[in-house]
Amino acid sequence: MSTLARLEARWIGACFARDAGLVARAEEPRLQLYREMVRGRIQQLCAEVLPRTRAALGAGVFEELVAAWLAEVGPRSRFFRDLPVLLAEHLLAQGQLLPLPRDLLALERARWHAQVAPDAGPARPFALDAIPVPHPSLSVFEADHAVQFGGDEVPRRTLLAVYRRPDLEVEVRWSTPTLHALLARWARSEEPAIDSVRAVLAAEGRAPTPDFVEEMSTFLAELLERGALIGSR
Amino acid sequence: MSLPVGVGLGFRFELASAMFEASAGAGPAWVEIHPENYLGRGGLFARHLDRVLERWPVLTHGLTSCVGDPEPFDRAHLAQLRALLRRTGGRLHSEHLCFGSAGGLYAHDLLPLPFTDEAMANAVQRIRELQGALEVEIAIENTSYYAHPGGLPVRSELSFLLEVLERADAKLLLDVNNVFVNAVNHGFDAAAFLDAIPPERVAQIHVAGHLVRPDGLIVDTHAEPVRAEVLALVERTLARVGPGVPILLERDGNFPPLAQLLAELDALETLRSRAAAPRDPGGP
Repeated sequence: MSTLARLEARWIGACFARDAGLVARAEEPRLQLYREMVRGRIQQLCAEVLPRTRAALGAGVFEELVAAWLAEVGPRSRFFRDLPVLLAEHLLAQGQLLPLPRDLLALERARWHAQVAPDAGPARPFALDAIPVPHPSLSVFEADHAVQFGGDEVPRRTLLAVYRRPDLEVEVRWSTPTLHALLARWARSEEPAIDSVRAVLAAEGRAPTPDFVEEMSTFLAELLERGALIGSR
Repeated sequence: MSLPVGVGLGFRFELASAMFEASAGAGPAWVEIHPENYLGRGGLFARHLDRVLERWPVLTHGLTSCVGDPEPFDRAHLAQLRALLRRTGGRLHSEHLCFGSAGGLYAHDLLPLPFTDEAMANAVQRIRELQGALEVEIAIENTSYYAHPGGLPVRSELSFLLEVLERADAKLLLDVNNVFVNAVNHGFDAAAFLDAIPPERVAQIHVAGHLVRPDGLIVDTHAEPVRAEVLALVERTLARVGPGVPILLERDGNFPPLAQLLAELDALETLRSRAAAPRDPGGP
């Protein structure tokens, strides 16, 4: 590694290190100023994108979690907008949050992702015997609280899908266990849509009754109309 | 396509609605965008970009391909960037003379380079790579800096900057506010710095506001109105480089009503007009 590369790696490392005391004692006294500017912008963005999570955790705990992520993982995307999503995915993967902040974080991650995800390109025809294509903004997840209502997070198992509609609004949809299981499989885009239907019904020990077929058809039509699915491949 | 003429404004999400609603002719002559805000991003930002391209001439100003970074460019990113530059139709793209990432970590800020031969060689090589990869003219912005990484430099910022531009045969995006900020913070003469820059190198000018901290340090915030001292330096610069060099007002925080920014654009346009006016041969 060249002298320049070592110097720059040390500066970047100092910006994200946990031990501010070490940085303060470093040879460049103004390094602390850069550290504050760099960290301040990232903390501010994460607080703006994840406000309900921050409120549920408390500002101090939230900032500590961001600081820990900066030190342990760091901002590994050139796109500033990606950082709250990367932070959230790290915290959710660690599995150490209490259920309510965890559920809020999952929802706020999904909402932000739905805002910034790439566009899908033109819609494609949908066929049950072809593999469904989800919109890039789609997230499907379960929560232990009804966090979708905002401010009234009652404990209740909730099955959520979040995506960007064609009018660019972010929509949060909650559904029954069967329909949620269907959408979760369709969102993985790994098998023909009809195979997902068979698998979900088999797992529930159910037959495809006319009522189910009607309910599923309505659900599917809404997903296509509202942009959660963009067709088949 | 030639460079835009006149005074532009940095296009920011916070200003978008007001800028789109402003009547044609009431807004900036052109706008500057940060490609990283649009690459790989859909939704509202993608729609904004469509509308921007319909309405204004555009120049692009990168944030994350700093020419002082220690590691090779991300070729996939450069390919995406090149495609965006083709879409904007601009023939000039700018990046910063600083570093912003190392070891896969991005500071999302502009970190200062040591003014060393090694840093210069690295910057020159990377500028040439950018010129080849992006297939447009590259301008390098002089950045504000608050420290000298690795200790006090043996050469000045000015000699470092000029030699980088000369060796890389690159244009300069001359940030006049940064010259003022650095001059005050590091104790050199801003006017002398500006006078030493070959006018033919200057492809674009940036102007912004700054914050004076209680301890006297000036921080390049882009969140305040442009100060009179900086406007005076802009006028001095325009007298040397001429009125044809596009001027951009940057505002990145503490956003005022658009009318206030348009008044700042008008002030800059007045300076530009003065530079365009024929000189009175009998005058001073």
